[in-house]
Amino acid sequence: MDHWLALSLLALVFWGITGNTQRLATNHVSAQFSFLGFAAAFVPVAFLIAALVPIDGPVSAEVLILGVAGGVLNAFGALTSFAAFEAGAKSSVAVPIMYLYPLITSLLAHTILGEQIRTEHWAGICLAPVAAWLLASD
Amino acid sequence: MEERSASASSWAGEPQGSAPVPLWLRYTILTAILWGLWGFESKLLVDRTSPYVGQILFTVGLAVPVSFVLLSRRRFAGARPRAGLALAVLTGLLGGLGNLAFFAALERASASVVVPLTSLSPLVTVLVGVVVLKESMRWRQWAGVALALVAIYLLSL
Repeated sequence: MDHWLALSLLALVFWGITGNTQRLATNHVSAQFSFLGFAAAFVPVAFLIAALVPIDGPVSAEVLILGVAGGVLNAFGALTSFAAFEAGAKSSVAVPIMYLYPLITSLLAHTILGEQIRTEHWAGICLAPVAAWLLASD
Repeated sequence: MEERSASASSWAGEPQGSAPVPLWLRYTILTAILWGLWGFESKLLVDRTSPYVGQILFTVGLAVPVSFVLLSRRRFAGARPRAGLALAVLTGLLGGLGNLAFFAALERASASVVVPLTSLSPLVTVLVGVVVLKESMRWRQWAGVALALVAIYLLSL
């Protein structure tokens, strides 16, 4: 198995389990409290990485902006998803719309970075929100 | 993906019903855009630095939404804070490890394949729910599992 595929599947598994633990957490506390605990857990991991992994040279302004923007975009996305459901969104409608995000990424990567997307990959990209819709069915 | 009930809205203070586009739909579309942009800019990031630096900076970026959440009235609300916090921290640890793997995958492959593939994580959520939490599954979810596996196969080609 290619390294990228193994790593992607690893991310898929870790993130998948967070779907369970997050749901269990919000059985006990508010989504806001849960988010704060979630974010707090990132801090020791970051310190651990900084302590154990050698970091080459100074970080450029470009990397700094891109890295920080990642945390902002991802976490605000989580917050707007909470807000959507609290505003009355039905998961059967909202989840497939939210899961169109890979399509946005792929279109940007194709248009701006010139990534070539093969037909079978397009098929997979388009199947993903449909699968998410079915998986989110109550 | 976490599903929230339509209970007391404390994320948004905006009244509903007055706008042509429902509030929930605006938030839903905004979510897709924010996550879509995140996937794209993560590729730009790991093309310029290591997944480790990416993860550290990602953590710094969390400070902004955390500040936003700290303004919420329900920031420490909950019937069982200790259990809830422990699970939330576990979620964060798993999420952080997932992030590292995601960045490392993006370093080696294109965003247009890695992001759609990793977006299928609800597959694992459903399966863990069935196997570990003894939740029941409906036929539509089984169909979702099958479709997700097909999508993973197509994206791995």
